[in-house]
Amino acid sequence: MKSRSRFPMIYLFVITVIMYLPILFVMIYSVNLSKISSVWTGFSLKWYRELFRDRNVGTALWNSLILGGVSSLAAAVIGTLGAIGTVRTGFRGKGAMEYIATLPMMTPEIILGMIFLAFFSLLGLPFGMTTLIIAHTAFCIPYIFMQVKARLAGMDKSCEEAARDLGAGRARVFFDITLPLIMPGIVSGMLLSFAMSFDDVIISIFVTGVSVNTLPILIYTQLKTGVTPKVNALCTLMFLATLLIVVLSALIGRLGNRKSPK
Amino acid sequence: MGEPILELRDITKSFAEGTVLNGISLTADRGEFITLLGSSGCGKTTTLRIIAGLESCDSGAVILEGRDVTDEPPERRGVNMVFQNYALFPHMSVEANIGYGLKIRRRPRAEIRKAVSDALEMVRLPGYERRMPSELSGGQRQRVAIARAIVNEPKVLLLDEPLGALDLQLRRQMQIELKRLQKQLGITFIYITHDQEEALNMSDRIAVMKNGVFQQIGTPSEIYDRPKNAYVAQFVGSANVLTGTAEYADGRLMLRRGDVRAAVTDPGTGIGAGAPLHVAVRSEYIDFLPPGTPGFAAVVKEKSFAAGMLRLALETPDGAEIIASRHGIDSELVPGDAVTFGFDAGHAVVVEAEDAT
Repeated sequence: MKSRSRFPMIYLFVITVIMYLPILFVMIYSVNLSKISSVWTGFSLKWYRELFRDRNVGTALWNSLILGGVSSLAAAVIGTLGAIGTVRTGFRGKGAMEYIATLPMMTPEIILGMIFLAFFSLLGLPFGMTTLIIAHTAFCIPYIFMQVKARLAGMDKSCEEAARDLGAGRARVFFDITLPLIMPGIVSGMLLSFAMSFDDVIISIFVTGVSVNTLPILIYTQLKTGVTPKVNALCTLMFLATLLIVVLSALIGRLGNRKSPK
Repeated sequence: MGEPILELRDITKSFAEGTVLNGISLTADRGEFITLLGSSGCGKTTTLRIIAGLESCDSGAVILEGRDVTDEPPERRGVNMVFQNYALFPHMSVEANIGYGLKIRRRPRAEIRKAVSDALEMVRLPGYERRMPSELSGGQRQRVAIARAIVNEPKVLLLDEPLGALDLQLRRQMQIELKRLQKQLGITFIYITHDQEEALNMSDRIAVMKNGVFQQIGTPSEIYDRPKNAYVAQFVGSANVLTGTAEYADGRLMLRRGDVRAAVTDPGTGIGAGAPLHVAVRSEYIDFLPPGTPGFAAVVKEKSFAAGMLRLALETPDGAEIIASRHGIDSELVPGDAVTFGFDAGHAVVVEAEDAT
């Protein structure tokens, strides 16, 4: 029995190696002195230095941050209201509505990208930051919606009733009780949304204009001229940033759970 | 006393699953401790929620201090509720929890702080202001929930099985403290429980509830000694209810079952001879008679011992279960023995059949 129980550990190890080995390689080559990726010649931070000197990278990073920030914020408002609406009220077709709200998560991105392209051209909207924000907000909403819905479902409704009983009107109850209690869900949903928006290439390519580059698009276009170690450095940094956000999101989620009793 | 503060007028309520309240009426006086007693699903929590305004009623009216508040939202009623699961705000400190009602009423901060510390003093948790609800034990949360309600000086305090989640010892202690608080504050308490002992201990009046109807409203001794119907007798006093027909002999009311009859206390309501008769007799008043004397026949089914009492379950030939209890543990009777039992007329109370509704 004891020798058999080792199998899951080995399995886990193999899976982890398969998943993270490529990332590890990118990280290693980002500090490679050589210009050719596949040959190791020595340790150097020169690609990072070059990366930080590159103006295009700076603006792309800025665009990506703005895009991620604004769209996850907008998605937070819409997604939270939607979740409250579906959990707290009963109406016909509620089940269908919940399913539809999470559909964008399951739709292939290439399809979503084409849909947005067609939709925005139909509306005659100029492609650029505005269209990027609208598209990113739309695909971020499900992440917020799911997180907040789960949080609301696990929440004790009598807390809100107690607040009303103590004299608070509906609006007051929302801001004093409901919002603070679902905040961990909103925040972890927003972090997830930000991460999703920050590394999106496919949808962004469809809806961006000529003038606006996001970081992932920049990387993608640079690949056409060959993988330089500079791209490796950029990828390393983006991976670490995304990792940080995901860890943060998980931590906040857990902190919120510990705070509420039961 | 004697001044009505809360009145329920013929309240009905149905949910999709069926009727919960079937026309209930009740008047509570200022400073009175009223208990709604009943098993789960009898409609007692719904009644409380209707008084609080958390639930609307289909028909009828809720009158508070002479004002019809039936259509008022909960925040404008001036009653407060202690929830069954306490419903403390998990993200607020004890102080913020208790002070919440006063903060909404825009009382000055110093006044709130004073009121909170007084309330904590009153529920015997002085100095707990900074704690979070998650750091408190069940009993302490209970006290904070009570403090959060009484700090607002409500006209009526509603308590939904507030001691249900506590262990027996703590429950006894809290019963005494709640009663003390209620006397000290002079607030009307509407208290819900399914525990008849708790109800008998604490209440000025008890309303026994079943199927959305008040079966009987009265003082603990009225409910216990003169149960109005079979349900009240069984639920409150765990009494036996014997069913038979009425008969008169020497001007005395008798219960006839088969070819045996026994004298009972005549309620003086002029029950006609031959009418069906229900008689409640508490288990300790079931007497075993020597063989050969006239009495009701039964067979011992079960013998158990609990809380210092020997409990014998008997079954009569027509299938009725009768419980007889005795102090001490010695009894020669064993399951399967045939016995004859009777009772003293003074301990046999005529009750109505259960309400059909």
